[in-house]
Amino acid sequence: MILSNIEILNCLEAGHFKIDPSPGADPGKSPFNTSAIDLHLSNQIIVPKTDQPVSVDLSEGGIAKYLANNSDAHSITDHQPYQLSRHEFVLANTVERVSFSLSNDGPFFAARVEGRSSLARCGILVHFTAPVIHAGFEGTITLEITNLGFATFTLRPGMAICQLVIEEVKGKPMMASSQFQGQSSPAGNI
Amino acid sequence: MSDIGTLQEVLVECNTSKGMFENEVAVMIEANDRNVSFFADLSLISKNENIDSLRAYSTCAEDPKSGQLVRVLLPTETFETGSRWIDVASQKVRPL
Repeated sequence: MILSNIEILNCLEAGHFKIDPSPGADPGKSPFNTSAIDLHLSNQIIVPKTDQPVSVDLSEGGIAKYLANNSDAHSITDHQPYQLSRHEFVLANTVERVSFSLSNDGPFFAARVEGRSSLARCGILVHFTAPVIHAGFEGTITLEITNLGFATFTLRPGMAICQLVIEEVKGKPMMASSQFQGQSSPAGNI
Repeated sequence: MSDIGTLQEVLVECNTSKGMFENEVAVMIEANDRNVSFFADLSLISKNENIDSLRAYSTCAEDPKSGQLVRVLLPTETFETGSRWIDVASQKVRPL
């Protein structure tokens, strides 16, 4: 069930999940929407290098390190924002750190990252797929931003870039505690 | 369903390197007989005697037997498997 602005505030105050910096205490004011909360663009834009003569095979190891070594980081300011060209793809992250911990007794929460209609109208996508922030996640939210619009688009630090729709997870996430007891390989006990 | 265990926070040995963003690191863990990698927030990494550890979740026993595999829930999916669940040698996991 999607949380209303009031419920988001109640849950923040109860410590069921965290958003840092705090969005404030007034549910009738930005960054609150009636059933979502706006998040903001940080000052980092990551531009993947496009001149790599390789194909990416996710089944090979070390993908995270490869991606980190083959992208350029740009720091943006209000005076030097980033100009996102048409058809360009960049990564960015949110100012806000969120935490949907599993280490308490519940209730538990997850969230979905959604774009904002004002940016969408300009042809700006802030995520392609995988919008779910699962229970147990902690950190800033990474956004995949691409410009499908008709003009270059200016990305400024601090702009409202996406919204978080928060939902309660039914039941407590668990795992089998004895599934691998005594095993020494993933194939299991023979 | 039998033997369903409560998730608890654990520390998993890992190797880290520079992330794409300043507030994250690239994490590599030996799991499932291969190396898996993903990005994690800096706050989830701690260092003890030059060994990096990642804060994650598991139901590992307090005193797991040597050679046993422990199932761990990562903060995010790995690039190589697309899953948040990995199986790690017990000696690389300890309760938080």
